[in-house]
Amino acid sequence: MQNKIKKLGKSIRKNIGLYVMLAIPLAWYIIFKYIPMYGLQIAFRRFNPTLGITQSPWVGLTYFKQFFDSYYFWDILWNTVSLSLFTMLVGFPMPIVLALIINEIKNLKFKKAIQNITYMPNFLSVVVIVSMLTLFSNRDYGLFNKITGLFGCAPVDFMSKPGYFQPLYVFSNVWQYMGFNAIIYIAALSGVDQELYEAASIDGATRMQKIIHISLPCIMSTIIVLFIMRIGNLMSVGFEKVYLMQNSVTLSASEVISTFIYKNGIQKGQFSYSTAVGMFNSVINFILLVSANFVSKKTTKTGLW
Amino acid sequence: MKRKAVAIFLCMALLAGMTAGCANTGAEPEKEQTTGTENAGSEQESSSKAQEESGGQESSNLNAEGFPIVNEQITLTVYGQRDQNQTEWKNMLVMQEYEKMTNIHMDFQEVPADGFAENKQLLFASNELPDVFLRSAINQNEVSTYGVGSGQLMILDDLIEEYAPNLKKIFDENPAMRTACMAADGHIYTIPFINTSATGKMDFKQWINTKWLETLGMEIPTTVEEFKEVLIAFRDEDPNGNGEKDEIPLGIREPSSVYALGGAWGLGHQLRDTYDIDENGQIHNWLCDDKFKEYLIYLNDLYQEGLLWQEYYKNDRPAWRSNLSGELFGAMYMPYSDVFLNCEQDYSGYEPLIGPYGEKFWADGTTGVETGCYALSNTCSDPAAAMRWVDYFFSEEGGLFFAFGIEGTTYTMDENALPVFNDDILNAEEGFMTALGKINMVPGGGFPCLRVDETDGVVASQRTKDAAAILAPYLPEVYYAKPAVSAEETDRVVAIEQDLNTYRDEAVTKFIIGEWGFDKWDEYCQTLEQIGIRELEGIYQNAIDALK
Repeated sequence: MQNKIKKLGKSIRKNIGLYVMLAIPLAWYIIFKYIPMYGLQIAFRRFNPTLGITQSPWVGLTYFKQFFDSYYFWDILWNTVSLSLFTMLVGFPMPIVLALIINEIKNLKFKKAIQNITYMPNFLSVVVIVSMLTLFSNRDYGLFNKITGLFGCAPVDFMSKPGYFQPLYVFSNVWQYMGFNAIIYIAALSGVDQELYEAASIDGATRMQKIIHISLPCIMSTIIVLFIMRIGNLMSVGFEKVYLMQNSVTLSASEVISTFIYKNGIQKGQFSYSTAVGMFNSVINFILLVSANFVSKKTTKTGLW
Repeated sequence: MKRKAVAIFLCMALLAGMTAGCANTGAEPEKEQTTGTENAGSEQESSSKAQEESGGQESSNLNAEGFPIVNEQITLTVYGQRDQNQTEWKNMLVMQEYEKMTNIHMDFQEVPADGFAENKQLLFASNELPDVFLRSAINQNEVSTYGVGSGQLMILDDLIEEYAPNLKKIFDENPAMRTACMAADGHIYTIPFINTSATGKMDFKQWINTKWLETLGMEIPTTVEEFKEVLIAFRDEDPNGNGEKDEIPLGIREPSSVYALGGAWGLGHQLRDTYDIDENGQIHNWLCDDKFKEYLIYLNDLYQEGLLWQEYYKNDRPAWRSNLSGELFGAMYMPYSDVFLNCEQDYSGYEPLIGPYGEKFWADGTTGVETGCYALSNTCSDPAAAMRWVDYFFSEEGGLFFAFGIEGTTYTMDENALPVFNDDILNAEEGFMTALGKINMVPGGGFPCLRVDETDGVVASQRTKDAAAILAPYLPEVYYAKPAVSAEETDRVVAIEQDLNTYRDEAVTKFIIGEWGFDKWDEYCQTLEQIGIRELEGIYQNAIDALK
């Protein structure tokens, strides 16, 4: 034991510069990510601003119970989970497909142009995206209705139908982030050894076969790591976009945990209650992350840790 | 080697700077907490202590009567919500003039209306309170939480008794107004806006486009059936004569305003919500009643026929405004005509419609008291002066000064001894409301003051007054405000109302626009029961009984 500490001390002295550099992000995490967690205790207290976080009276699981008993609990939970799953199922593979396609383009100028065009929407603000959606889905002059009208469909007000909320949300997300998310895969693909392709060509592999048997397996570890990280965020759907897109008619499909917390906690000042709801959300995220990692390690031998 | 040393030094400096920055912010809340705990002890204690302090000042600085209020200038910090029509408060004519009169400098820290709700909650949560809350719309639940519960708002009973003779007089003459301001513990935490004028006795007035009626040769409708016929004519016969079918027969502004016509079905609007109160003081929430179902069937019919504004449920105020100024609405509900002054002469008020059971009733009454307009924090540096500051606005003279400004400069008295604004304000290029927002806080409302018939003209045009006068005889005799409930019950009320209102807005909208058929009615009623509509009713019933 002592020997170990001595060794560590020696190595620190030797590489002091590196350790100082490591200390900066470490300190950042402790100060901004771990210390604020002491505030979580107000989920179990009846928060009273004059008494402060540490002095407010304990109330146990009252606020968790209040949330579980709420009429909207199952709706909100289902909306959050289904919206996230939907977003992931559609949104996760798209950038991979796009990256593979871009990787196959041989004309360099054309390749760059495609890449730029697809990742541009990433820089649009969510507010702009939602206004565009509102305009496009207008019943009288919206783009979507003009298109469906060509096929003889009756005009529909997409923004006011709960059934259309999730598709609108998910596909506009795909459109906006596909290009940007593809960058990391394109980078991974560019690192694939060209000799593999050459060898495959000599063996008479078609393009499709090269993609399936060389490109995909080579970026598989990147895909899995990103996938696990996505699962860890499964329950945290983007707040702004959902909040901007929802209206009183679509609430049954569009109220998710984050908008619920905002309306109850911040706007109505129920800090203890919304902390409890937020904590519930994080605990589920944590469980999902750990189990996804466990499964991945068992099956593919790749994992976050 | 030297370069490495420099690099290490820079890293160290960065790290030190970072932690130093945090140390400051980290230490501050702790300091607050300790002062917070001191203050928290007992509500009564802190407010009486504050009074003692001010009592000490009184002898030297505070004048018990007249102006200036203080001999040596004092400064109070003020937090509040600024309406988009209002100029910065420190540049407001009335506020500037009043500072000269009182010798009290108000350090205004106002927040725009957008995002105000969050800002207010965070202010309370951080416990860094100003001296005074002005136009902060502190509702009953917040009074329970931050007044009765955490003691961050000061109890004002004794201060009103001692330093607010004008307000005290109003309260003594109208005990109902005093009870309307009381929290569940029987104390007063906020100063209201009081409106005793005739137009203030109701919120919405109903308007119909008489020019269109004349064009079509039709009479003002008296029953709901006739009303529908008129709306159909508005839709089909191009009353504005532009050859296009752009008329919107019935303009309802948003989902929360669909209840305006409910009076014809005998649906009251007590507690400013979906309640009836009978002569024995028994309250009843009518959301599951058959008559409400019939009312919704009527509205659903109007919607399907294209008579009701098709976009009403989208909460799209800009679209509403542009339709309004474009004179596209045939009939509609608005509290005042100030937003459609350009075509005001084409609209006029009319009597309540007679419903299917012969009821003629205008439900949308008010108590004339809007609570939560002005409050003092428990750390207020001079409560006595702050109370004297606001009390002047509850005198007739002060009410006139607030609403109209300075005689000669901004207004003159007409032959009926009623104040009239100068032409440059009435016909201001930027619009009357914006011009008014440079003088006072009338645009947006919610300022603690007294408004009477004489000063009502500041917002109510003659047409609005007429429209109100027509409806006035059909108002409920007694009107109840939402009562305050105890801090423990507040948690329940907030929890139930959150779910109930969300569900109600969604369900009612779906019934009206036809997304749901009325075969879903039983399911809808069951859900409301499940959410706790009767428990909520019971809580309010107890609170109302307690007031008697």
